[in-house]
Amino acid sequence: MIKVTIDDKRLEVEPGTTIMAAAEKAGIFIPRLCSHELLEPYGACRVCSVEIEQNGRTKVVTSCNYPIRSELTVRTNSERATKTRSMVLEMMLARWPKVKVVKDMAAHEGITQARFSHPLVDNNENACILCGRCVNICRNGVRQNVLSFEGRGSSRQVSMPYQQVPAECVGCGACEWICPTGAIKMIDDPNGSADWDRIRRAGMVVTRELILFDDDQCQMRRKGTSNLVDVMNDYDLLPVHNYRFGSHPDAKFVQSEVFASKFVTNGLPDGCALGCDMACAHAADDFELQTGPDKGKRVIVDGPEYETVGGSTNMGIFDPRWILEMNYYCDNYGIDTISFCTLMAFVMECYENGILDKEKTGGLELNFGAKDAAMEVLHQMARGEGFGLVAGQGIRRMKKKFAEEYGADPKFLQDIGMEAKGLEYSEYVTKESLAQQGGYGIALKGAQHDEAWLIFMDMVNKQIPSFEDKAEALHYFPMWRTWFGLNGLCKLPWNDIEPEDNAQEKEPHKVPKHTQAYCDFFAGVTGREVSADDLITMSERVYNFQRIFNLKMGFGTREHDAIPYRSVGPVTEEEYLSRQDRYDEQLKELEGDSVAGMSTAEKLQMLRKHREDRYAKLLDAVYLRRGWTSNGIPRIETAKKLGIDKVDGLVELLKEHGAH
Amino acid sequence: MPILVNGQPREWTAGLTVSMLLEEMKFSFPLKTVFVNGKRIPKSEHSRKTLSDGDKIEVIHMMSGG
Repeated sequence: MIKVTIDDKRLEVEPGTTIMAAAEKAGIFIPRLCSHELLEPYGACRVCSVEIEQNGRTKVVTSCNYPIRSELTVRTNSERATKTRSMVLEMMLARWPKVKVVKDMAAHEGITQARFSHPLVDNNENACILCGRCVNICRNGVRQNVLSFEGRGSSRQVSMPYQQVPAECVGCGACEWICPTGAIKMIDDPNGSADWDRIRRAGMVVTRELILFDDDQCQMRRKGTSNLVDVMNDYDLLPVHNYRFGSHPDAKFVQSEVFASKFVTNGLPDGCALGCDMACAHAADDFELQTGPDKGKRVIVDGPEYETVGGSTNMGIFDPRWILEMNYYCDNYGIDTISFCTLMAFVMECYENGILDKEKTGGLELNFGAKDAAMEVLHQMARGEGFGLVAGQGIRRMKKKFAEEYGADPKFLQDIGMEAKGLEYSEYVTKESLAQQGGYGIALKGAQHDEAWLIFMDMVNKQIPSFEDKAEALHYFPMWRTWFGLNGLCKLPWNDIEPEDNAQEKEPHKVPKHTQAYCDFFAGVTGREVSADDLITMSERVYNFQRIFNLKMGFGTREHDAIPYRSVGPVTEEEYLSRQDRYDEQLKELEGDSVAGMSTAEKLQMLRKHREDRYAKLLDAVYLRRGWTSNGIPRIETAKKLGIDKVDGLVELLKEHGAH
Repeated sequence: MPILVNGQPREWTAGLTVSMLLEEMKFSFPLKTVFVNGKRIPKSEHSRKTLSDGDKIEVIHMMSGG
């Protein structure tokens, strides 16, 4: 800590603290114009000038960007300091006499009128005072670099290239928001929303946090969702070898920094959503393809997202170039990377277990890690040829084929085939999070985590220990996350960036300040005031309707919420032994010391029974919380409460399935 | 007496700091907040804050994911 004296007030500050920050700590106000919490201080306006004394020598410095490195005396009101500030402000007042912020700051120095006239006097009360805040936030905050100064001296002005709005402008409105004079006006909302200002104010909540905190939080702007690769590997959640394991030493070859520093060169938004300054989608430029119809071409690869990398480790592939190539071809063939990776991981496990062989795969050796063969399957899928025709049908149909035609054990295939409702699992290991198992199993569209991602709350934080707690989470989060889909919004700005004080909230996992921003956003668009509870009700209505739609299509009952055992616990002895301490300890807690003398096969069976019972109890609790029957059918009173009971034939359908 | 980390007992050693504990547990996710006996410990103090035997530590990871 360093001792500093400001206007006779003594305090101690961390090395590097600016004089302005230290003065604020001491309760002393220093005038400023270009300074702002979202901007690195740059000392442009010189309105914050103060006099300092160090080692017997004095000088005038700008307080916003002067770091305190050793013992210092600061005088904010010495003759030299006030004279410097007064001169600057009088010049500004002479040029922009009607601008409120200039008048206020000048008044603070006792100046109400300039003693001279200025040749460039501008009587506009919203005149640009060339403070540079807009240029600074665009370049360093939002990182789009659309605005800059042009000209020198009296012709200096803020401008865009060739005076036109360039494609890089995401329309975030940060420049207008940070402008102290109102000189920048966003063009009127072309979509006719009820309150455009309110929408942009809601958006600035997140923009501000991205600028201030993203580099220390998830680095969504620099790395995108692939930041999670490293994290999932650390928490034993990164799928490896068809979800058998949750981490691998070779994960370091595909960690987020590898992509961010070696491959991803395109830091611009990819058009995912104009106006989004999270801009987490990234691209690798000038990437030379090694296989397939575009072999030898240099292309842009849009990605990779976390799931694409996690899917590759799931196949035992840890090669960043292979991942980018697979990402490119999936995109161009119109194939989902998650489904491709998960079904290939299943194929590889079948190959390793002798269910598949070279004869059945058309000569391809499809062991875990067989990257060239896996790429060939992808091309075959797109061409509709060879083994690609089999794999391309997805896990559900492969399970049936392998059992019926290849004589494989259907029970083993069910255990390791990671799909639910016909959709392949996304890339998280769920064995140690019962709530997340439910998140995948009960999800309406199949095994996707986009309804609920509860692993940290459940497995790490231990915040939802009881079945009721988990059921509450599996009510709230699927409803809340459904709301984003209903409104055509992305949910990443909700919780991949968080307010500085979020942890002190009563329910931090809901990110209440952001929930409020979405309420403001909704009201700003529609003109209808809504509460956070109203948003959930909107979703609950649609969610239940979707469940009933599933029912009509033959998918909406308890049996369809079943999940493969691989997502619940260890299927094989090898898996059990790989985390033996963990499983032994859990069994000991449940069954006492009697487990000590048991064989691995016996322990595997005992653990399985316990975990399957637990999943069944979770379904009971979730159905109860949602107002559904024990078969997972919305009760008629639930349909009535949500106002969807008048839909033609809906009540009859529910009754047919035993609802009352 | 062990320390409790998110309700789970864990061995305590003299001189153990919050930073050391987070590293040992491989708690690398950046969006997390640490409470020791109910008091929030800011990130800047993690390397200085030493833990005492019997402390109750909560490491609350904010949700994330897709």
